[in-house]
Amino acid sequence: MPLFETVFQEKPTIVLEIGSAYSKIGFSAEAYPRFIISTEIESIKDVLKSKEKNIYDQTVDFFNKIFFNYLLVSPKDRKISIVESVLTPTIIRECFAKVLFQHYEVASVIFLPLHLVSISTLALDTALVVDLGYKEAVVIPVYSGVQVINAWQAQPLAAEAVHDEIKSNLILNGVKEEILSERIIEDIKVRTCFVTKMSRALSYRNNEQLQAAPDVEYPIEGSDVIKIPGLLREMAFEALFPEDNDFMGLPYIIIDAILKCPVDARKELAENILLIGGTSSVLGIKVRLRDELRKLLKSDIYKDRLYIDDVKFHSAPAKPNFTAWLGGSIYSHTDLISNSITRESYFKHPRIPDWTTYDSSITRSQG
Amino acid sequence: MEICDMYYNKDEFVETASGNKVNRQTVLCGSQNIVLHGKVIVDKGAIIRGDLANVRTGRYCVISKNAVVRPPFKQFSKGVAFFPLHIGDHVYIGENSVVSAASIGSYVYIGKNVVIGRRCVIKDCTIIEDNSVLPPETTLASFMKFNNDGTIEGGQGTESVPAAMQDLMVDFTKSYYDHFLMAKS
Amino acid sequence: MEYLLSKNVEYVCECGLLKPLTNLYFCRHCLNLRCFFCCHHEVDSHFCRNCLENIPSGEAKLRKNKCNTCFDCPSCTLSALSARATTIQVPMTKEVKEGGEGSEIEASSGKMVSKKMYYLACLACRFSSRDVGISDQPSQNFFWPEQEYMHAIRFNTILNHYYSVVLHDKQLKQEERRRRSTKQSKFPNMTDRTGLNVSAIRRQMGFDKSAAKPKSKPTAIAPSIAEDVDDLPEEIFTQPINLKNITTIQQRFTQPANQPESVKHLYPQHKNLSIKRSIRCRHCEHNVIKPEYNPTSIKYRIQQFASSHVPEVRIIKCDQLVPNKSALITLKITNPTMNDMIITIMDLPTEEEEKMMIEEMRKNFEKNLSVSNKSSLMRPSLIEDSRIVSCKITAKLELPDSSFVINQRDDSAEFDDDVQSDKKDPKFILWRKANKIAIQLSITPNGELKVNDDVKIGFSMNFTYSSVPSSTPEKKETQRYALCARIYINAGKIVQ
Repeated sequence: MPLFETVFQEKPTIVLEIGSAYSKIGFSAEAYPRFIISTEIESIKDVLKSKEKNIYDQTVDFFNKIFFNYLLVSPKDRKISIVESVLTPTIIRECFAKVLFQHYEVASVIFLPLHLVSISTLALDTALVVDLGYKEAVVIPVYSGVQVINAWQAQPLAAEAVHDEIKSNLILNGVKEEILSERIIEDIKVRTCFVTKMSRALSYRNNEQLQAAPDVEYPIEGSDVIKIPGLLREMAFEALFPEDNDFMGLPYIIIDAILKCPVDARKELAENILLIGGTSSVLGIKVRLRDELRKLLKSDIYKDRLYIDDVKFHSAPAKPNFTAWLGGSIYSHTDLISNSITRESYFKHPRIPDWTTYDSSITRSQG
Repeated sequence: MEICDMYYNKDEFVETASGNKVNRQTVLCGSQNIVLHGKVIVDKGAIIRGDLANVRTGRYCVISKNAVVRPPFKQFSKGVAFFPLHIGDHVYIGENSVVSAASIGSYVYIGKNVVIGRRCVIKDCTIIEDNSVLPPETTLASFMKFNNDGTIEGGQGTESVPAAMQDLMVDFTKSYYDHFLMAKS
Repeated sequence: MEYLLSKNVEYVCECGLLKPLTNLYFCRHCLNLRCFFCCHHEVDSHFCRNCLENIPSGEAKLRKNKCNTCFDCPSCTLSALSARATTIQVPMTKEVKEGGEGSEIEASSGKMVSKKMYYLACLACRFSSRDVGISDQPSQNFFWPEQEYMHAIRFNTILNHYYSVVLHDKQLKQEERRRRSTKQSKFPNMTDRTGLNVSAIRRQMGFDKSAAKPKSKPTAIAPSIAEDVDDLPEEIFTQPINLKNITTIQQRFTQPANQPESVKHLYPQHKNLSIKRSIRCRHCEHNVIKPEYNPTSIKYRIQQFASSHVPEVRIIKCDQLVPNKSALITLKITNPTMNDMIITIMDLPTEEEEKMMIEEMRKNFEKNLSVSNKSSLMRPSLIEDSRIVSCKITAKLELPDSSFVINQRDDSAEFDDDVQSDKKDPKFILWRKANKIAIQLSITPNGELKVNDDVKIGFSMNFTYSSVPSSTPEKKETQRYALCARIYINAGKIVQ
């Protein structure tokens, strides 16, 4: 196939997805990222808090590691695609562009919207994408290949909330706070916790006594052994399903997102839900979400507003942590990359066009 | 910081013709198999097992207090055999370290309390941090730094090991030797 | 290790960052200090850290930057796996060899021969390839079975589909653009009105092949079907889990493709390669450091370390530091060059002077850029502005009143025992030895400092530098320059 020969001779695009906790890095047209490493940009977790090193320097160091310690390529004159959510703070996006163009002198950068590219892994163009990451859960519906941005929903119901829950629970049980580092709590969450059934969660909330899952003895660094109570194992992820008068739990925001979409799109969106992000790989979350959504759809709040029978979930041909990266890899392989921001145009207008930018001179030149 | 003068008593040390300064309170087994090339300092309490196999040190090496230098062994069908241990020039071995490596290159800095597993290969211009443990048969390439949590970082052109490591170690070991002076009583 | 990696004495690089001299390089063409941050890095060569084999870059790309022969331990993720031998008895011909680390005796049907079988083991954490179910291989360098990625086929289908979709869209757009912008000539000819123009005739005759080009249709693909989800397995509520069988996140991330949850599926992965980097000055595009390609060699093809061009300052000792009381600090300065050096110690520039220096540097660079041919290459580059140094000095330093000379570096001087005590040295010079000199200055920490605060002093050191021109054979004389280096010293902590 002569069309594909030129593609192989060119250097492949570097595809990066830089999340708050972990970054997925690799090359385009590959089925999985080469590396998943922890993001060492402290400021990405809280942009407003000032750290010792400013965000520019932290980003320079982190990208230095990415290019020379992991990917082993010179970034000069290469194309880079960064997969990121449209709700990323502009500071971070501008900082990445500045570092890449000014410091590393790459040829071009394109920012791919996370929710949109994720559904390309399913070969669909309509789906409700729920991204459960570290800092927050972001729900954005995509209909016919366009993100319905006015229907966005974002709540801090993700790994960070679960970590806080585990930490406070263990401290209440008498474990010393100094040994509970971020790494250990994450390990406890990944290896022992799961999302329990809706019926059991309801019983726990009503203070009924149930036979909880067995406790686990967790050794720490060869010195202490702490006990993870079975109740914590089941209830740690309840942080994602709060039942209070705010009505802002995970199932609520999913339905709110569907509600904000036009009426004819709602059924199709509800039957094509895609869960991505590291937190959505925990055992039992799909079942729990399905049950909660079904219950909510029949409940008084939504019964008369939404006429949907059932919800269905997709599974992408990838682990949930890097599904968005995979979408970026697929997109970067196509010719859409020619729409990226080149170095010359960046130096003329050193700003990244954003969905909030009304500067028509920039947006028109990209079309 | 610059190295300060270190004084030793005349009767504590033996100085050979080639300039080696060996403390009397060391255990040097099989001294006919131990070759110290010149201007080598072997400090108090050090143990060099030349009885197992040949031990050869380059010039301007420093073997600090209570260090153990032991050639590695390899198990064969017919028993065990010990391999000679070659240490290059300008190597600093810190206090209380146990060295069983197969070979150590030149310009290497080994910190204190380091345990180097058997048959490790340590190339030139490397740094091994204090209190680290190298598992057996690890290879440490040039310009790499071994940290005490077990990770290896670095490479020629990075900052974990200074680029001018060769000159630095030459400077360091030479001035260590020059400042290692006999106390004038 | 403080000798090697000390951070007490830091120099100001041209970009404004403070670095110790061991982390700085000297660009001979710009005559300036450069550091890791303000230079370009480039990948020079690939090699495997374990087997120290140089791998050409084309092959490295093909193998996804992984070594062919070495494996990483998936369990401890730190050390490499080594092949261990074991022998088994296989019924065959008459040769009998001795056993090694363990032998199994099979049912003998006649004569037995022992064959060496290899398995992979980690010497740090006792992992072995048998734990994962990989059978032993007959040869050490044999092909260890690799895991296949289960979604590879589906991924390739999706990839090709979207590639063809985008290509198809692009062709449609090009067609439309072509159709829309048919050239409107000023003079309409007869042939246009009758529809008989050149392209129609050509098409009829069969000359024009472009119209008959088949448009690429997007390849069809089966979209993903949403399935019903499985319920939680009931055993999770009753069976206790064994933490030793569940992988940690670090172990999972060494295999990003499969991320196995059980230890039984942790396959050994090929070891990642390492690189050697070369460093290039951003302003003049000359290489500052270029290592050799050979992984075992420690030499450099181009080496311009700061420590071989700029005089090195080290602290010998410092008296106890008490606020508002003057203390004596002894510094050792070394001249690494082959020429005598005249050194003057002066005050640091003030903030306004620093800002002016930064402006001047930027103007100089822009002037050079416009003069040289680089701009014709269409390479606009926004050089990052140098920063103002962020360190604040907290003590007052008494400057020595005169300049002094340090002798050149002479490698044969170590064999000379004579100490040259010639011309009268100023009072602050303690001793001289070949190319080293020790000076003693007094510092007074500021009054506001409390116990355990760092005492920082700084000064500018002007020194004469003679460059040896390398490429121009006509200019035999060395050029002498007066260069300046700004130095910040952390003298110690306040002691009450």
